[in-house]
Amino acid sequence: METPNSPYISRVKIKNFRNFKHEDISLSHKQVIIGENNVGKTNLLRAIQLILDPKLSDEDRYLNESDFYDGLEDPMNNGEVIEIVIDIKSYEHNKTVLSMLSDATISTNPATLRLTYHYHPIPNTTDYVYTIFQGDRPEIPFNHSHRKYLNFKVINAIRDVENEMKNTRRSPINKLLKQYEIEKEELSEIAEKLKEQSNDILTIDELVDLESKINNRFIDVLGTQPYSKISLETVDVDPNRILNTLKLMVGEEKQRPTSETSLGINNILYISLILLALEDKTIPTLLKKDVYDELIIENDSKILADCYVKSSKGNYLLKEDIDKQELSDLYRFMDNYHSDNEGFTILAIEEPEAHLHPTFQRIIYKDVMKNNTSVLMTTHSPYITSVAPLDSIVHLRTTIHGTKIHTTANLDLTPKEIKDLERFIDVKRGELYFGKGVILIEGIAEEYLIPKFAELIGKPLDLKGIICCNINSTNFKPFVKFLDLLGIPYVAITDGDYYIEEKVGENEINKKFHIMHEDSYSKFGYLGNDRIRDLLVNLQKIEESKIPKDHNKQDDLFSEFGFYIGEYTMEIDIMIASSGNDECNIIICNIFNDLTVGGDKQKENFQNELIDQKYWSCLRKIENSNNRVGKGRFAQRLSIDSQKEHIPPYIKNAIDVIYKLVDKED
Amino acid sequence: METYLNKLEQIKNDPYQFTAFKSNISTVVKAGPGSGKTTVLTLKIMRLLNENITPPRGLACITYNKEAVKEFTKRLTELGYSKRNNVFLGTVHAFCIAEVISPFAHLYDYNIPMPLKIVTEKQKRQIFAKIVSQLNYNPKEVKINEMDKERTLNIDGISSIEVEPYDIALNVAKEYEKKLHSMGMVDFIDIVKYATLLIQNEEYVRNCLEAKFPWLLIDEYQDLGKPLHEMVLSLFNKTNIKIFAVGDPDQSIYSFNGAIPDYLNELFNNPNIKPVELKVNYRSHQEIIDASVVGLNQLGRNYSSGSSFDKEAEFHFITCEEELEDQYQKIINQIIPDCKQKGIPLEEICILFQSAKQIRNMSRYLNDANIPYYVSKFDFKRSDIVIWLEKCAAWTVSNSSESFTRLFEFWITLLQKHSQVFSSDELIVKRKRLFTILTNSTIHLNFLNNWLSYIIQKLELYTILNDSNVYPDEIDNLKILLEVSQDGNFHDYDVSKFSNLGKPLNQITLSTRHSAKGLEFEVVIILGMEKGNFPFYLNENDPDKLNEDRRVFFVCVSRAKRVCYLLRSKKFTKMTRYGLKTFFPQPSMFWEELYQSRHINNHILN
Repeated sequence: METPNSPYISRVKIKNFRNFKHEDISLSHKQVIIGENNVGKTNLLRAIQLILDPKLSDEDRYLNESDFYDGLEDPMNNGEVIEIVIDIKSYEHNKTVLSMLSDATISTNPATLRLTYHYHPIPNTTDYVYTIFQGDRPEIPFNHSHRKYLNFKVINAIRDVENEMKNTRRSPINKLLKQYEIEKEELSEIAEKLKEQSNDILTIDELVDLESKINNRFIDVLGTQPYSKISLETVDVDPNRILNTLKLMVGEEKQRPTSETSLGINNILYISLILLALEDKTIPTLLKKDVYDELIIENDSKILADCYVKSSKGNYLLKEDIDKQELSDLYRFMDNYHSDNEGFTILAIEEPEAHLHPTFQRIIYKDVMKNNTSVLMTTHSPYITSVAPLDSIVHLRTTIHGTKIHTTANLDLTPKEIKDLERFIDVKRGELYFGKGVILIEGIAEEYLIPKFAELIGKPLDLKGIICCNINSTNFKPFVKFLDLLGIPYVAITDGDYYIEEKVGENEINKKFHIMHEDSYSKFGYLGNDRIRDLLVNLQKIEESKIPKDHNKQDDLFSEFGFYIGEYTMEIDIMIASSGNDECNIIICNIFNDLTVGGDKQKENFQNELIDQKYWSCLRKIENSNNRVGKGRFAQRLSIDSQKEHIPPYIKNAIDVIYKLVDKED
Repeated sequence: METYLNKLEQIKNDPYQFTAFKSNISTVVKAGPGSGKTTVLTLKIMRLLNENITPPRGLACITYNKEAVKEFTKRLTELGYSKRNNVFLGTVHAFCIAEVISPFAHLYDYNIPMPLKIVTEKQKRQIFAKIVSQLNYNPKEVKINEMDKERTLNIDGISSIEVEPYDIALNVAKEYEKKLHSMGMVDFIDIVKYATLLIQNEEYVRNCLEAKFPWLLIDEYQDLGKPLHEMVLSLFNKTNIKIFAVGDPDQSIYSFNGAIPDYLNELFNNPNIKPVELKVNYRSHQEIIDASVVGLNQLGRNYSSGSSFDKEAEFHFITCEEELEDQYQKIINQIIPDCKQKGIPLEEICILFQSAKQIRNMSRYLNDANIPYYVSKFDFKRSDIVIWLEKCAAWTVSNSSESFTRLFEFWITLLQKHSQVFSSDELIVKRKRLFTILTNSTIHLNFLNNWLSYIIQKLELYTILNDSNVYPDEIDNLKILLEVSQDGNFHDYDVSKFSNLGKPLNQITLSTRHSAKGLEFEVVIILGMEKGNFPFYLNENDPDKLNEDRRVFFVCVSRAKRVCYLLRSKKFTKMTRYGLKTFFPQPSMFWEELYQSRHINNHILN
């Protein structure tokens, strides 16, 4: 059913709290929080809890010295202040929230509430106190009475789901039952009948015998006392408690109580029930007769008759097929005259993947995402991150300046770019999110060779958590934008694609590729440089006018932004790097000889051309489909046998730089 | 709860009251004198809170003056009301500040100077005088309240009530507002106007108000000027807020403030609002009711008395010889002794004067004659803070009569309004401190002046209120209060008497005609019933102004439960520009009308 999205936290600002020195992030309605262990995911949630979680005690909100940012020396004697600010959006459709929190409004377009937690010294002392206030008005407190209507619930990573389900006070199924306000009379009537029925079992001789045995034994021990009478009862028939006897059973044919089902199923059940309990219930699916009669006298109550049908017991049930307009009218009507006044809970789930098979991980994730409740989840699961929408990522990284948080809520990409990137991330199981540094490359050949090259120069990528990300000849732009937002250091390696310009007719200029540079060529260029130039200008990293004409100077400038451009294509650049080095040339020839289906003559030609530096001819032979070699296979083999000397300088530079960048962060 | 149920049974017997009470749609209640409007209003509030409105939503009940707020709040407490979120009970000004301007003004660009700095009355008079002279007007041509009235009228909206503008006052008004705002200050009229603008123009503001207050109840609607009327119309037309307005157009006597009966009538005639008239007067004898309506000169006032009296109604038309002094003497020498003889207690007698000056003159005679009296109009203002001090006094005298929590809430809000911010620990410290001060103040219970001085000094009120944005006149006001308690009318007051301010104790009541509203007495004595004095001679030929004087007379007579005295003198000597001159005024037209109607009924007693 479509109801407006529930309130969500649109911004979090944290100052001096635990891992965080000063972070200010934008969030959207659903968020996936990613980061390695101990990076501070739980602390991020804790910061929000300080303001919004009703389960935290007053004492919990008084912090300790150890809660201050680790980089602060003697914070409490120096009067340092911890500040946590959250902004809330998408609440204005609901009168319950509006009526409680309108003082917290900081903007009406879009409607935004702000809540601030402040932990500060009492003036002229070293004693600390906290205040939580609304909007920009420190005199207006935010307290438990407000938290009742807008709050935050964390399902911890370590959770005893089975216990939670059994606990009568906390069980989500009991909470759901309570929301119905079932009438006592109705219950006592049923309880009466239940008792009558079930008492039959107690008349079985065996049970009569057993009861008297127990009683005799007990009286022997205790003597006759007010509480020495023991009796067998089938069910608890107290109408106040009868609902608590309801049990969830799992399975169609062979029903089992939840205590006997698998941890995985229970986790899914638990999370779904909580989501169900948290749903916006402004529009009730069931209206009691008396409530309906009360509502129908309101002026604009026509919508009621349109949306509800009378049940056989005289109550009213919400129809299934209600169109959007009716639904929003009904929401407004109910919000105005009925309204459950339950308020809203923003949910945080730590590691929903716990105990779940990958398929279930995706299922639970999808259920969470389509719900109206705003959810923040922390996860280590590639199965979840790989399907998370691009703009839902909250990425935490450790740096020497504390944990930095980057979010993608403000990601600005075209729908096609988003699709490309999402497909890539899905296929690669979201590995992009887990890299400490990224090398963006354009093809399969680079994917084989670059890790090997890095190893050869003593900088293995795995050691530093650097990943190679093959964009498969698509555009760098979405990747660069995304990595910038995530704050993950990256370099990009791309071909130079040298060309010369030839005049065709009067005014037309043709670019000629696959040709080696000669000094006689005066009009030449690099398509790689052109592309990167356009990209950097497009991303507004460089002003067009500031780009030098000279290609070497361009290379220097672009490398400042992490872009490393070759001369021709990687294979040619490798051959150039190896030129004059017999051992290296032999390795290349051997690989070609091993792979080609061509004859000896061809092999001989290849060798000669390599030595004569006719590299394009060599490459054509590698690429020629008749020979069954291919760039990919060639690179794969080369990655086994390659030597340091094969490495083109721009690739070496790129590896050196990404290594440095990652080191700097640690 | 028991009180609630008793009262509920009571109003079930009055079909008009019960209709108003039960109504689930917007409703306007015309409530004549003594018709039990506050009972209906407070019962309705209780019903809405207990049965209709689920927390955290609530309602707002607003009215024009603080005494009325004090009255309905007290009644609600008796009915079992306990504080709850989003229930606003207060004056329209407090509502505008707390619920509209403070939370929302900073979100929009209306050039509202924030934080609100309210001009002192003295500054306001100075600015006004300066502008009148700058514009080359004669100070006699335009008075400050005429300017204020134009300012209230000068607001756009939905109402179709037209009021003839007074262009000189309007010109002054425009310049005054420019000047005031350029100084970064506002006055109370601005506050209402700004709040109305925000409500009219900003959907978000209306949504928030609708969320908090599905019902808006307004007491004494006839006292509201145009801005508030427009605010109510805007909320009624553009939100789902339901309106419950109570008032009596016949008791609209504040036209000098811009309040006219037409606004309430406009609401009453709105086809989408349910009109209810309360027609039973539970205060007065039928003959008093009939007599009061005569002065009104309006059709369709069919009030019937809901109380039974053992004694007949009495009307006394007393003609004295010379000047008001003879009327004063008559009261002291004849009327009060007569009343005493008939067993009427002093607190059931009220004398109504045209002006505060007359009250001062009368009080000298009463002092000489040793007749205890009570003046319902004080030299100081019963401001929020003074009313709070009265409540503190009540708590100090007897802890059960007020809730300390509420006293503390006001105190902490006062401190917060003066930009102090407190953590929960500090709140407890402040709470303890207030408790200690009030508890220790019991040593001064016998002498009001000592008590007030002690409280003001211990709470450091002068420091807190120094240069206050919200209560700019309060230090002066407290100083007047201290003076009154030292040398003035309260010099012999103890704290208990102060806590019962507003309730005469074995005293006769002296009041101006205008401040008599809401009061009731067995005996009402109306002075100065000469032609030219009442109605005022300048009003005789202006139908609107004459009607307003008629309503004043209606208010005066309808204060009486059973006995009404009218006094006039035959001869007045006044200084005119031709020197001393003696006049022989005819009786007031109200006197004549009443006399004739009584004469026809052949019931004249004298």
